Amino acid sequence: MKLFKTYLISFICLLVINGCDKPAVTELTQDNKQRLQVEILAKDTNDEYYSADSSGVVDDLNGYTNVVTLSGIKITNGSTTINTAFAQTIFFDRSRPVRRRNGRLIAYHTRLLGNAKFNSVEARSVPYTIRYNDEGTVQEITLGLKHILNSRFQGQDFGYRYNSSVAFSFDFLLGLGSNSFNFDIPTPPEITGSVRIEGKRNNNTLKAKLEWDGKNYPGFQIIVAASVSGSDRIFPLFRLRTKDDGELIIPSGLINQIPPRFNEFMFYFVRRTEFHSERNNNDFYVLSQSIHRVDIDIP
Amino acid sequence: MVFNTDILSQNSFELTGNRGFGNENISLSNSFEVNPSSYSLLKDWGLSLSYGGEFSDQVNSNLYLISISKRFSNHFISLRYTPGYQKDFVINTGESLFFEDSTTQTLSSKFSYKELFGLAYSYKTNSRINVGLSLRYFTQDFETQFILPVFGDTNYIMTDSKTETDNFWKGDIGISYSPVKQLLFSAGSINLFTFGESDFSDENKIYSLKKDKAAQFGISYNPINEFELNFIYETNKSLQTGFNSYFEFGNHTIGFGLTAFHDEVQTPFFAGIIPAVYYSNNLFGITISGVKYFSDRNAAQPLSKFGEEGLTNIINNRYSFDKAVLTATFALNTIKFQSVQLLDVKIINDIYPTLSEYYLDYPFAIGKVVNLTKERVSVKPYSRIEGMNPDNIQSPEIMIPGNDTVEVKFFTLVPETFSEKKPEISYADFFVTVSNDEPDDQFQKAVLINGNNSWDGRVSNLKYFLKRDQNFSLAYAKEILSKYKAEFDTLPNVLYNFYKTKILFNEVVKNLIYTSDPRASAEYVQFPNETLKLKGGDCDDLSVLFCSLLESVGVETALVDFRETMGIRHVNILVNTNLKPEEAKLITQNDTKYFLRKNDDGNEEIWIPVETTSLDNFNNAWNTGIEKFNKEAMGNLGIAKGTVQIIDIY
Repeated sequence: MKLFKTYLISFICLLVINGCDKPAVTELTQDNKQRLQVEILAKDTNDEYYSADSSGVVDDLNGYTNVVTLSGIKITNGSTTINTAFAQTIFFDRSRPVRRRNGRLIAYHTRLLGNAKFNSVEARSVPYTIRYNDEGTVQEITLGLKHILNSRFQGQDFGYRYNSSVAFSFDFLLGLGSNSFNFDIPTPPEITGSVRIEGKRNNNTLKAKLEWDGKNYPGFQIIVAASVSGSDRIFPLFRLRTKDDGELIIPSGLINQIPPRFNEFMFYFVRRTEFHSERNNNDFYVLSQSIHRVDIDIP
Repeated sequence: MVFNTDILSQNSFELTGNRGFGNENISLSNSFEVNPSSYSLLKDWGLSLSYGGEFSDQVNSNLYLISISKRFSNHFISLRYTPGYQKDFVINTGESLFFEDSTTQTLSSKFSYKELFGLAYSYKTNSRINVGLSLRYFTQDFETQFILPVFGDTNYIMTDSKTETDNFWKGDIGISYSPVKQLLFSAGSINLFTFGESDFSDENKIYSLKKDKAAQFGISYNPINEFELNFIYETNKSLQTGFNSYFEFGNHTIGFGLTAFHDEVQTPFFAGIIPAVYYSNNLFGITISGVKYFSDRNAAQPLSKFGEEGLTNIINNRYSFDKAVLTATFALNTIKFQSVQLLDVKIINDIYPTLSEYYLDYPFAIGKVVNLTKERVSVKPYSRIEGMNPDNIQSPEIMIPGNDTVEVKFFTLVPETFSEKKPEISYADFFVTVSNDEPDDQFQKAVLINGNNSWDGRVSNLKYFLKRDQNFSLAYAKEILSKYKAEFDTLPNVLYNFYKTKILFNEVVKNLIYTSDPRASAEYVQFPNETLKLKGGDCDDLSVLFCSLLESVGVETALVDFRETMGIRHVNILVNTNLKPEEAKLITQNDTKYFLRKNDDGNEEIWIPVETTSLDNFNNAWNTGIEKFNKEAMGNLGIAKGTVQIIDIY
């Protein structure tokens, strides 16, 4: 009996030691819930470098050499909505980087290679200036020139239409390019959204319910941005990639964590298409967006 | 009890299949699922283990349960720890993080359901009915990951999680009833009561374990020996059915069974089967079982359906995987395995201390003993009467065929030194054993121990009274006879016994008078010295006295029991003169005054009846004695009819 008990206790110990696997897991799928991918945009909300300009482009363009962007923009603040369109072309000189003191790349200087036209309207060449915070000091640097058209300026309406296309053409300056070239840039469908804010910030119950005219457009995203009242600096905070199905409740944790000094939120409903175009041995990154920005004051 | 048909799973599902009558088999784990009234044949401590593997895309091994059980008489308690009674779900929340380097991290939720502990109690009210109660402890965790942006010198996003936990107890009761050996009915509650629950957020509430109340009803039937059919129906539209077949040889059992189960949410109609093979003996039992589902379990399932249907059973549900389980039960008996049971004991003779050796020949009690095994066993019965027997008195062994019931006789012995002045109630402990160790069973019964002078009324037992004062009688008789030494010297030897009788009688009766029994309602017999001291007695006292005196000096005597004549029973004595028939004339010329009896050698000897209550002289006592003897014993054919009985003292 004693031997039996010894074997028994040994057997039990063996089982307990070896019997600690987790049971098999069953995967359940969210059949109705919207898929949502979150990306943080502004790495430092104290650095103006990460703020957005009026182009509607919140992407870091440093990775490209030649960029053409086109944005049809609606901005709603309260009951007022204004419409604008913005087009720009930038040619970066990848051999001339601009770095912070710590050596980190900020951008590249630009080159002026010719004249850009959108729907046959010639874009203006303007200085491309950026501001950034370098070890506590606000620095301002002009990278060069870029070509822009902004329909809000008189005489610069290049006839932007949603769900259509804009003809882009470029004429190289003499000696810099062999030929002119042109191509059409498609424009995504117009987007119209609304935002309902519920709850209160001070008890972390803030909720943002977003609705828009869903069209299942493949290049859909929402940008959550914020600004301090009285400042013209808008910091894009998050990029939310989800289905263009017309409805999204932003996870409350996202907006409740936005620092309280930002008392105005901007929600960009964006339909975008992007592609690369090879012209005259130059690679053009083309980004075309339909944007509706809704500004909300957060008490 | 509320019956709710919306709960959808099989409450009575067991990893070892449905065993029906097999509940009374130590190869079972101490499962609480079928019915809390499950009653094990474990005699003392039991230890159970269920270990196995679950077959999803990979094989996960699990210690499903470990339990310890203890029986206290008809009470049975079992505690179990069930680390393998767990079901985990992972849900892709649909949210993910996108990082600068184009990598992503997907967020998920995890639902984890566990049954951790169980406590069961059952009580065998009688051989047919068991009742039981089970308490089971559950815990369920709902862990949800969420995105947490961090704004500081450098902004970044990370994941965090929040967990809601609910721990609760679930209690059920059950009863089983076996009207005949071949049939067992059972009924039990499902989710009779729960307590200890926590509040949930609305988000997780729908995924909480379902606890709707229901009931289960079961039947097991043995249509033929060693084969049983089982069926359980649950009012939540679930059922299971199956059979077990087993073979018994000695204390070994080998069996196999197959159970099929159905519930409303699983497909096909019989969602799966549980085949099982098992072996058991008195020391341990082993069951190898499996759960085979007939539908694919590896495909991802929609969360919405999970929320609609809910989860009622952790180890058997739409999402369960095939399993193989080894269950071992060990009987850690510190008490002896019971082979025989003492059903009842009947006291057939009160104890009369003076009768001493009588109880070696005649039982004072008869017990009814059943052999609980299937084998023929030799049973040793023994007893001990409180206050009388310092040791156990063993009675003859008896063989009992397997599962048979027989009567067993209990004998006893009154120690020579034992003395009881007044009747007293004592207790007799009766034991039966098949080994020399601890008794298999015991029984206690009250027994009457009478006083020393009490007599059971059987004339044959008067001899025990005269033997008791043998030394006194010898001394007393010798003292009288020594006065007649001169006369004996002149007598022929053949007349010695006659004259010893005559002299002793004549001398003793001088101081005696007849007195009836002082206790009208009870048989009371005086010992010889008491009769002499009290100077008298009734017929049995005087017969005992004269027999004792005569026997002490070598005169053979016998008691003559005249059974009731007109309501009166009488005793006198016969004395062996040792004279041969042809020597009769030495004592009488009347051939009717004596009685011939053959001795052990077959030779006839002359016996004379003496009426011991005739207290004037020997001749009158002889005459009275022969007159009564001739009339009752001879004339009325009393000896032939049995109304007159001659009882030799030795």
